Amino acid sequence: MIGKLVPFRQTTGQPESLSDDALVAACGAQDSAALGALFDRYADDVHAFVYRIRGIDDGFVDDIVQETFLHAFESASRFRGGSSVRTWLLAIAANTAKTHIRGEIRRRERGVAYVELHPKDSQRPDQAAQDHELLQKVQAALDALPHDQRVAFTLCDIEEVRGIDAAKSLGIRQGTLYKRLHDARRAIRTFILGERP
Amino acid sequence: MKTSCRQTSTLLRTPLGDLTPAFRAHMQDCDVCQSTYTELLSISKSASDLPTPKWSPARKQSVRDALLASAHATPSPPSRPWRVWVAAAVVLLGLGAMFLTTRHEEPVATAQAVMRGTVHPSPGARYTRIGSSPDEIVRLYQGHITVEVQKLQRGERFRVITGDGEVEVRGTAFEVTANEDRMTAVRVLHGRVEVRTAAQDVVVLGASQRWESPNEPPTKTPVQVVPTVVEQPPAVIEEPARVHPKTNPRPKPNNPAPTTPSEAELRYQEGWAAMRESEFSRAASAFEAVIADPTSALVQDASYWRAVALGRAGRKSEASKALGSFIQTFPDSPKVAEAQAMLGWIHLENHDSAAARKAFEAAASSNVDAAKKSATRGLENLNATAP
Repeated sequence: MIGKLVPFRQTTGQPESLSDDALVAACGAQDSAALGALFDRYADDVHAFVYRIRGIDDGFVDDIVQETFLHAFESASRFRGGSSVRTWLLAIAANTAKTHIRGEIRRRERGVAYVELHPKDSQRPDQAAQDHELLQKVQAALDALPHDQRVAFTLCDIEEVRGIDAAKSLGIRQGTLYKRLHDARRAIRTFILGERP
Repeated sequence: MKTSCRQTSTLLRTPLGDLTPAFRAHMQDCDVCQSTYTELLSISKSASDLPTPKWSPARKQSVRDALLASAHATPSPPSRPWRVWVAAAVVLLGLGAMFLTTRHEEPVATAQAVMRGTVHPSPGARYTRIGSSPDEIVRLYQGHITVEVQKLQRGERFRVITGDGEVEVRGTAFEVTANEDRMTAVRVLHGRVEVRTAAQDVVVLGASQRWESPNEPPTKTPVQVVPTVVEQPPAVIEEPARVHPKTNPRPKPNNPAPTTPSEAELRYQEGWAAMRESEFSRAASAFEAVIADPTSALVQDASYWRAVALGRAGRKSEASKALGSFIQTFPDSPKVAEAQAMLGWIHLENHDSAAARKAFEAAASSNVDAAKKSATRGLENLNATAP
């Protein structure tokens, strides 16, 4: 009897209904439908993250988002579940954005008035003014950070990713991440509070 | 009260979520660390509150299309069960948008644009999306695209237009190839396709049939990978999608086709944007600018929508002239019946019963259901008010 090889599929069901890990596994098997579903699930998060670590929507953000998911697709078979899929994607985005680092200089040259900051309607005017000023300072401080520090700050203090997960996803030692986070926070505090470094 | 604490540096380098219970206990008794912790929290919160720009669904969809096209081009193991040849384009005969022309039934520009189709470009394909529902257009300049279209609602159209022709679809998928802005091939997987070119009569293709331009040598169908699941386009689009540069690595033909929308196409987009904002006079002006370029593939559509916009703007006299001109200039357009019905209602409003009857009768004799119904109602109205 002649045997017949039946292709093995790791996942079943519609991609939209799969868990994150199953989606990544399907991507590892080059299932483009799973890639589409992964994109639908996390594209907004990745887009916002990329914007935060770049500080400007200069047309490269879309490219970086696309490259992020393409890299994820290509490296999905190596994903071991050491962190959440979301954190993994954000780390890929951070590394992808690094290749566009020349934008860092351009961003600084353009200044920090790019984002219009609005106080909340419900606030008292004096409080709103204070918050508005703080937001502007934070924005300016973030814009002045080197890429690696900005990534560390965004991942840990905005996305609230645990240090060990962030470090693992970025492919760096935990101590390195802590150092970058320390430097980022210190620079931001210096900028905002006028504290001497 | 302490003014410094050696553990503050620990706090500054540790993600807040990683602080140990021991350190948290220390903070209870250390004003310096407590104060620093509060500052860090405040900065973190402020940074989180910084606005991020809204990612428009159109741009997102464009990135998604580009991503999937790139993923298709990624080499994969030869054992992939679903990696198949596709050369299929499925196109159903479009019924034409039924935007009736009466006060009750005239075309309604939706407040938010909707994209019904998802484009899967092959590497090298150059295209742009010009319109959105109810008259969604993909302008193909070069290369090969597979388009999957959701089931269209009544009155919606979806077309792929090249410099010399168009393909109209209804709720399915199809594949079109163009070379230097000329349609060279259409292939059907299932359903029906209507291919219209300037040089030929209308050709209707059935399942598995293929049309090739007689001016082009037979070409081998490019390898395409079809996703195992049809990717759904977003429900709501805010602006026309742009062609994503990453996805469309450009070939270098001897005479490259344009890679960005032409002035006329941009004005057509403007016209539709204005229609969605109910700024009909502005829309009419934009469509008029399209008509000013006689070489544009959108002249016929723009002529019709200009007339619709004028009618919606209350400029009935100009609308009447525009409709008459459209009917005369494009007698074979699938929109003619709707234009006739619209014209009938305008004449009726102007108490020109004879002209209204003539227009309604012309529309009623068409095979366009919605136009027939509208015209029938118009004739009933005329008969009821006849002396």
